Amino acid sequence: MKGNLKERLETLAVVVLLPIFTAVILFQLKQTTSNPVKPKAILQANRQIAADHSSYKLLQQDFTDPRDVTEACLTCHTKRDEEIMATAHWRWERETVLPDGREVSIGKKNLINNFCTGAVGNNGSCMRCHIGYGWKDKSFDFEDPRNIDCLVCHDNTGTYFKQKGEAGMPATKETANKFYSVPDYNYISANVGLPKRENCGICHFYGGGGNNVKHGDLEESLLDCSREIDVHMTSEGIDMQCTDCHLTENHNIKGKLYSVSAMNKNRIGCEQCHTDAPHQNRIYDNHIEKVACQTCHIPTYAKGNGTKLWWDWSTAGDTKDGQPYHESDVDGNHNYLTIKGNFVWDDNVEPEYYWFNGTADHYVTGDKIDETPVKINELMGNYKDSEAKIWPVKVHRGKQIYDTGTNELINLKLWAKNEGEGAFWKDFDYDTAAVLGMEYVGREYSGSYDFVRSDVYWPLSHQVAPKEQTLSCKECHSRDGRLSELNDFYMPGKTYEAYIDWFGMISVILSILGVLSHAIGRYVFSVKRKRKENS
Amino acid sequence: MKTKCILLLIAGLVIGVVTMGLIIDDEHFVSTDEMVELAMEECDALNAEGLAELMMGEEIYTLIDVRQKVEHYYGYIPGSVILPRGSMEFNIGSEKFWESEGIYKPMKDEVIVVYCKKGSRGALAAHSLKHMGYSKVYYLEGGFKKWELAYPDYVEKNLNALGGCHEEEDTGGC
Repeated sequence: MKGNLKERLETLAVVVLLPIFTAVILFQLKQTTSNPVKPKAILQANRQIAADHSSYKLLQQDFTDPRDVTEACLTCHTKRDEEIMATAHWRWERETVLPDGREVSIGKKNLINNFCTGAVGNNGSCMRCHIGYGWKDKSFDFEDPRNIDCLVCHDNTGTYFKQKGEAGMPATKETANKFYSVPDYNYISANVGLPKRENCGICHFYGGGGNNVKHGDLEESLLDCSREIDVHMTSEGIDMQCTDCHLTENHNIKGKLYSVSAMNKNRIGCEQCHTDAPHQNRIYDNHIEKVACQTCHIPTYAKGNGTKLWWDWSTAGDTKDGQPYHESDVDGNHNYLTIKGNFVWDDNVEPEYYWFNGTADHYVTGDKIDETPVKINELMGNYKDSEAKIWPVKVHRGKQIYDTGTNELINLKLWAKNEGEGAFWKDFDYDTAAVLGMEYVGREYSGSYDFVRSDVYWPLSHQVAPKEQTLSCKECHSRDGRLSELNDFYMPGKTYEAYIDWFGMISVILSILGVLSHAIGRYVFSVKRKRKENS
Repeated sequence: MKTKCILLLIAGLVIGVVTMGLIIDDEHFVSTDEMVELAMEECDALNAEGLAELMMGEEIYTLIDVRQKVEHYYGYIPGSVILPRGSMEFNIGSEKFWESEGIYKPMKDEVIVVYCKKGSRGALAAHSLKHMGYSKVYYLEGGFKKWELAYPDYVEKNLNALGGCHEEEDTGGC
């Protein structure tokens, strides 16, 4: 009777508990994996349609000066000038607290980098990418709303361009040439709208002196690209515009560039559309705490065209028969220019990986060089930092000029319209270019210079790959994987300790020996038992 | 009966293992990446720093650029011999070829480092050489690009072979 009860209890336990266990496991599995969340995005095309400006008489006047177009715009779009004038796009600087506590105002206006070294003092050329008209020198009036260039962002005709070397002015009757004609202001102002990729790209694709020189993930192939290059901006698919992610309110465009900014605010992120648990897979979603979406979803960058990874200014100035010259690499990218030195380009580049908490330190003009390579904009963060995640980064390495007397990076005068004005790009004389460049910004120059290694860091966010090209687990979870340089935390598959490996190995061997001994023991004793039974 | 079952089980396992082996042997690559991955798994890699060390050491080595000639002339690692992958297997053992290059033919037990643009062709070439009996073959990890980035000052070019350099064009400014 007792045995019978035990059997019944066992049967009951199996009949009741087994389905419960199965249900629990299935429930857990369902919670762990299901279809990814569908992103919720309101695209620009659906968000706002510009009014038909072609009927406005105000815009049909005979414009001879683009500033008159701005004035016409502001007649209806009142107060927009105030919004614009508060932005970093206008001011080219913003008040910032650096990670070391210094309160500074930094931006393109005053920072030095290892591309063209700096905009200030080279206004005629660099200020072509300012959203204003005629910032040719220090006399530029930042308070005059007529100086705002509305068209560079809002032209939807694709015919409006600022002329090269004219400090942000479009061509006039006097300056027009075979490359730049006088814009048709009536046609353009009649066809304005929200900014498109072409508008943002005219500066953000070509910064540093050519397509994809700087960012690595922002370049002209995004104007009409395949899914493989970018799943968001592909013309084969969703065809997103920049401002679909870079949400804009009162002309404040969210999402900023860490080469010119430092603080963890006004950022944008993938979760805006994709939520912070998009995979419906608990293991993947758990990664989001420490791994930026971009890390897995941007396995390579510079997919359409190469990007510059090395720039050596120390070799610039070489001429042949007294004439400047250039050479190219096998892909057709310049790898030597008399005016700029040597470069190395690459395409389909695997990013480097760094902890990044949204803040960046900066070499501020006038800082002493206390380490080499000089970190122009060091990304902050580490594993213990709750805000930090692992990010894919393009690192642009280079050698740039510095003052050996003061131990500071030098502002160079690179650009001038004519030879004999002391600009390096015309006269190839570093000493004169340093004297004039430093003088323009009011800094001391000792008279002696050399070249120092420096790095600029570019966190990557564009050129997101299709999901089938996303990084696989083993590309990071392996000893020589992509994250092999990050050593401040434990990561399965990557981190290892020799004594743990030995402990594991010995455990396995002992287990096998135990099983074998047990089997041999049973065999021996069974043979003995049989013999005993037979005898 | 029990013995029969055990024998059958063992026979089944053996057949299974042999069949799996045959399947693996007969495997076709699904993609080029898979082919390259296998070559990389079966060959030893040398990174740019390792190659620099080798170049500064005393061990005898041969450095082979397996890219096309036109790629080579735009930039190559000093001391490398151009031996495009398409003809590599035919020329690697040819006295005539090495005589024309002015260096000794590499022995099968000497160090050979092959490189291409980014590492894939180099790995395939190294794989091929390994199968030909060269025992110390390495491919340069990341190829010429990694070398160029690690040692930008130690790169040579032969633009004359391509028609020389060009006059300056207007490429200043941003």
